[in-house]
Amino acid sequence: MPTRERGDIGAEFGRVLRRGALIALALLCVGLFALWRADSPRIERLRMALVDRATPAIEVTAKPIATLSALAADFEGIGKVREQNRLLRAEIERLRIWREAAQQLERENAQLRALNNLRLAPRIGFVAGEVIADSASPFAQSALLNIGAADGVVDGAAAVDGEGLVGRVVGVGARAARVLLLTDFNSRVPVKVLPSGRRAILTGENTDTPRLAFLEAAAGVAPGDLIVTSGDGGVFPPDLAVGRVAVVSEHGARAQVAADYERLEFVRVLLYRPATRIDTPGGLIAPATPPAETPELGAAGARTDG
Amino acid sequence: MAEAAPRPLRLAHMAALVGLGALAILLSLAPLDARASATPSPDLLFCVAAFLALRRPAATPAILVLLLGLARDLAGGGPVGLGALTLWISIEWLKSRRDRIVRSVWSELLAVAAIAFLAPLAQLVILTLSFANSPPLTTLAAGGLATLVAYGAVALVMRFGLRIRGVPLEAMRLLGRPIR
Repeated sequence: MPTRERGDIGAEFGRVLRRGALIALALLCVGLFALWRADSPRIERLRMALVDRATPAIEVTAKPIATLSALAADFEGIGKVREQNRLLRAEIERLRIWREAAQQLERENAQLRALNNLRLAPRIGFVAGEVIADSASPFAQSALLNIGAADGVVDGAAAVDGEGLVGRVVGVGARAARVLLLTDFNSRVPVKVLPSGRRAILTGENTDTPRLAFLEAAAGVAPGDLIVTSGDGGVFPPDLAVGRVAVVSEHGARAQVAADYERLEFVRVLLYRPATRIDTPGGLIAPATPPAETPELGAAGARTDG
Repeated sequence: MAEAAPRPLRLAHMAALVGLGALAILLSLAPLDARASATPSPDLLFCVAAFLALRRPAATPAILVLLLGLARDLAGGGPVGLGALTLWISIEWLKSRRDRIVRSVWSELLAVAAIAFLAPLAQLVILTLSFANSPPLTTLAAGGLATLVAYGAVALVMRFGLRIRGVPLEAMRLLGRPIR
């Protein structure tokens, strides 16, 4: 029958179309994996484009779960303690901001006293955001923030909580940003161990205690020593608290990060501009390299100069 | 090819896969504990897709499963594309052995457990072959266990909360229709 034949042809065409789409999709997955493996920035842009659209839904879902988690943690005397806890946390956050501002000013003061050639002081502003998601995968250690390019967040910026360095921004959307935690395999941060001043690279290994790779010499480094960012490379500001030395052995040294990853709620992303050395008059008139495309400080409402 | 359920019902089940799958992705993204040593989140998307694949196979077309897997990979921070491919293969494997798996709760749990542990292992092997860093086996085993436990909860919610039931195998055989 002609009608039946037409139906069969239609069904067959549909099947071929579905099979073609499936093969194309599977190949797309393979291609995306290859791009991910090659560390292509396209993947991060694709990720952030999707996350940008999903941010409101992620926030809506994350809030009740975060609340339930907090309730479970504060099981005893939920009513009063939870409210007090919330107020105290907000107060502590405010005080920490002031403490950091004071420490920054102190450091700046010390640097200026030791100044022997003209240098424009580095400017550190910050924008605070809430952690709305984590990586949801044992293959990565990252967190998603509800602040993005619209708030002035730029790729590579340092993220800190009240205790110390949390990680580095690796993806920026309009309203969301992804922070690679210090414990992730791909995290590498130049650090300095105090008081010895030994330099190393803090290397994430998906464990709670990242390795201090390329430590200049283990001598003079002991458990409990303070680890701060060295500022080498100019990506991170120097002297940000990172953690403490946890173990020193013949296999190397490991660090205990200061950031509270167990209860990571609020994070500040630093808007850091490295110090500019003025060593030639020409540099004042026409810089040799074009300035990086960073949004102007003061453009975002939530941002504060520290 | 004959269909197991009328078209509107099949579309409703597909909508359930998309809706519940999206919810599963959002729930698994919720920030609870960012420590590397924390128990990994269960694979809720796999739980939802597996439950539907075993009860309403026609409601879990491969394209939809791959798209959901890809969305999960992109929203999270893990290897993009790899999770989607392993999810697709897992669901197709479950569908192909459905008549043997749904005979009892134990055989279903065994099949789900096998995939919950083997899928991350397969990802680990591929990552190792591509010279990428991968987490220790203990972390993956903990994740597999979390997925298995979560599957029980998801199955209870979907069976008794959403009243999604399987197509009886015997009824399908009596009707002379292939099981889809």
